[in-house]
Amino acid sequence: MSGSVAETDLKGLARPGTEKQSQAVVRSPFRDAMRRLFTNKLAIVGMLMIGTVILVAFIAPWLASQHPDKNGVFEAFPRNNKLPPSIEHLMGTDVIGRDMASLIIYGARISLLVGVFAVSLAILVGATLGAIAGFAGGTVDNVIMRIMDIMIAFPTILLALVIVVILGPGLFNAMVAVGIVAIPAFARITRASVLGESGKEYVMAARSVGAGARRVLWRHVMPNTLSPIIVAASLGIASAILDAAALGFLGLGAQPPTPEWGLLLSRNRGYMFTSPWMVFFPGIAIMFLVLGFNLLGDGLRDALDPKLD
Amino acid sequence: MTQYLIRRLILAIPVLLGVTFFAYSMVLLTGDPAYALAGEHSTPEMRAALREKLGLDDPLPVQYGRFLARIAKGDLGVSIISRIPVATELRLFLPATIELALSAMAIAIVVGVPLGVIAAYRHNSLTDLGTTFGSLVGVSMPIFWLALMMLWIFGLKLGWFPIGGRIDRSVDLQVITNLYIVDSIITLNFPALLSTFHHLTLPAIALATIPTAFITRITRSAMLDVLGENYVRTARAKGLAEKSVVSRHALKNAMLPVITVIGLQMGLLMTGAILTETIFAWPGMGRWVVNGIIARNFPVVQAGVLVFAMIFVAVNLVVDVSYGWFNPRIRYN
Amino acid sequence: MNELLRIEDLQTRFYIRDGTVNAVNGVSYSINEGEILGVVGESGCGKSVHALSIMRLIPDPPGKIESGEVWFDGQDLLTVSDEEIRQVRGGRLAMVFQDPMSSLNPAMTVGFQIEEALQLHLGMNDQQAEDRTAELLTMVGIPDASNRLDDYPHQFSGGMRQRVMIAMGLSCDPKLLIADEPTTALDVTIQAQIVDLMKRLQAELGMAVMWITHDLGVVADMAEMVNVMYAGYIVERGNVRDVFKRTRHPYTLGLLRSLPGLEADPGAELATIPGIPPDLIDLEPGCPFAARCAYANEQCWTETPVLEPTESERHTVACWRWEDIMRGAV
Repeated sequence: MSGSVAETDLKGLARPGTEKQSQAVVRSPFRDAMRRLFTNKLAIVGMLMIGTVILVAFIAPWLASQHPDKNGVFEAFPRNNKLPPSIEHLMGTDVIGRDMASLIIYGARISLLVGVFAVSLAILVGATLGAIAGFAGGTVDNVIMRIMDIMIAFPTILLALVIVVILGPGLFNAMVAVGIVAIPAFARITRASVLGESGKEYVMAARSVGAGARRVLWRHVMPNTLSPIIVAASLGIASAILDAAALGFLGLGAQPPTPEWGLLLSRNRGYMFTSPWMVFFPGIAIMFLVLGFNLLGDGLRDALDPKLD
Repeated sequence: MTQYLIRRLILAIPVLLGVTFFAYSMVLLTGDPAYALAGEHSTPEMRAALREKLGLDDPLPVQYGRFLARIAKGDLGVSIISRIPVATELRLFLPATIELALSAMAIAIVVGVPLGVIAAYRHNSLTDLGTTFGSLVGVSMPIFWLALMMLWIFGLKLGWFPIGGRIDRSVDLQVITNLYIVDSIITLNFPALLSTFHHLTLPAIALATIPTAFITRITRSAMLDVLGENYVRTARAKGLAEKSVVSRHALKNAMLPVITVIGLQMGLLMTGAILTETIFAWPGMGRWVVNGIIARNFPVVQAGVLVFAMIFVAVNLVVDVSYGWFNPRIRYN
Repeated sequence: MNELLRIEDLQTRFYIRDGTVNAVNGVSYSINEGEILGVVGESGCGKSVHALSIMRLIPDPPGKIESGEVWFDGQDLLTVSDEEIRQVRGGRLAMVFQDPMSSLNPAMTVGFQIEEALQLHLGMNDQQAEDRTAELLTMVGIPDASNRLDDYPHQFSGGMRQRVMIAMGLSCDPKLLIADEPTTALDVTIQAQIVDLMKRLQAELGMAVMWITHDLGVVADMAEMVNVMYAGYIVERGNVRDVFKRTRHPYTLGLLRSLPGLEADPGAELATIPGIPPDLIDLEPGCPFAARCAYANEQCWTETPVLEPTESERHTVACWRWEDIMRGAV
């Protein structure tokens, strides 16, 4: 037998006559995630839905047939009240004759604002608390998480209700209340990520080559922590919009004349039996936007970590 | 197993204390109880005297301690609006909500779990996609809107179901526990039982929609995970029929996350109950507490918040304990 | 001796997003009753997948057993009905898996998991099944077996768990036991124990054993016949002595040479086979080892070699140049 195999060098790793090399494509996980996201049909539907609402909110002044005045009041046309859907009024009119479609179009701005604001608040406070708890450990961790547990012990609406009562009714306070209620979820996620990542080997590896704690946190832990937060953010916006609408429905959130969708529902409730469209459309609007965020959140979850539970 | 139970019970105590403390102090945050009690036309002196009588000027921990002592004795105060002891009102309204919530939860589990199992089993089929989309729609609906729509279609337009109350006015029911189902069974009052179910249907289904959606999704996801596990492959390698593999080997392991979600859903059910009761004129806790909040009826709010939170803690405890049953590993840790 | 299992041209593929994975490419061989066959190869060479294909345990989707015949005890397992294959699985044909922790159901007692098989295939009642299970556990070397029936998998050590899996595999007196890397996940000392246990059991019970591993040492210790697999093909097959001493395939040669020997110079570098196994996705014709082979010629690159007999009938090799290599005329 001639020639030990070990003596041979890398002769002919490529098939003779072709340029075929072994593919060492560098794919960043971010690009992978984006690819997965944009091939997920449901996620795309979600993004389109959200996009539609954002667009509507933007072009409200050109889209709606009625517009609020300086004080946010929509003009009432008592003689046009309770009209069923028609060509003039695609969604009918409400009890004092305002065009429902216009109300709902302007209401889109509010719902989007509420969702984004509340979740931003929740992430800001929650992620900070969670990160502190995760890094500090010990008593600090315990105290923070106990407080989170206590907050979670209350049904969200109840807690939000109580906060709104403390702060006083109104759209802004409702946004704050809904945001506060969402804090524990983000705190937990962040803490779990921090704890989970800190123990991981790549963190220890990074530290073993001299990377300091802050660098480790920033370049290694953060990107992995971001995934669940992003997913929770999208889903959180969905919940926030629902919660705010519920507060509006109970009369403790947005106040008239704000065309907040939940408020519209509650004000027109009494006439539901004779003029159901007044209740139907605001609800559909809520559902449309919330579904969009839920679909996106689901898609993000599948894209960012296919094995994320 | 008992050790595990005891350990979980002990861990629940700090949370309970925190919850009760919050329930007590939050009321004070919303305003001066003396003002609410004495009324608008009271003078500062009257309010000061009232504060002294109620011990509202004592340090917070002392007040809290007194509060705990009172609750322990069962004294929950008197409703400012109705002048009826809160405990009495609680005994009236709590069972109504429990009945509604449990019915909804029963529906959610009975419908959601099998649906989730089927969807997982027929992964990527039309059934699966339909179920996924359906459950996403389910959790995106505002419950108060769904309730209204259901009320309108089934209650008004079709007239199949009553639109309010727990039971037909014409039916006589001897009330013992105030759980109408239980009471009608105990007193062998068949028409009452029927009427109760009739009235329960719409609100329970409306309330059940969201938990069903969640439970379907988590069951499907858990089953998919489990069906990919090695021990399922082993079960198949032993020659077991697919039905056995799914129902005996896979399901038990998949139940863990499902139970977590069921527990969490209880909290959502309470939330939903608050809104559903408002719409169906259901005389339960939700409506009672909300009205109390709006009217600054502190004793009612305190009691309501307390009860809601304690139920939640209790449910979580049950969930924790059943974890131990489903996953023997946790038991022995 | 009678032929127990005969596989003809088995082909299994996986259809995934990135393409089609050619996991098993025309595997053909046979096992006689009572024979011990070792199947060796690197990770991804198809040894596990082909075994799962025999038992029809390939998840479909994304996998598919494309073609081939698997004759076991007079039936072609690939064409029988679902019910018939279920009868065979766990009964006359059993499998022991690699990782006992994940392969045993954590929520069921060990006793139940074995009794289940007994009741299914042998029709035992509860008491009989319990007794037999205790016997089986004792047979595989688990002390105090009857008291451990109600224990859960996590209450056993790794080696004990693997013994439980073996007991489960043996429970219904299989004619062929397939062991898929049963010792890979265990400590070296435990490995030796399990290998000894299997040798003893095989001698006592007389069933045929297919031992899948990447460890040549275990094969040398246990097996009579050996299949060397690479990229979904069998590249060399024969009895252990022939394959180890009169190696004919460059890949097998490379494997054997990469084993550190006791007589080797302590400072010398370990011998390796340069390059990496081919991407199984959309595998092209030609010898799969060509890219790493010192002797590959034009034919090797374009025509896929088939198993041909060497000097001895039973020793076959899939290499166009085996004779040249043997004679040194490269």
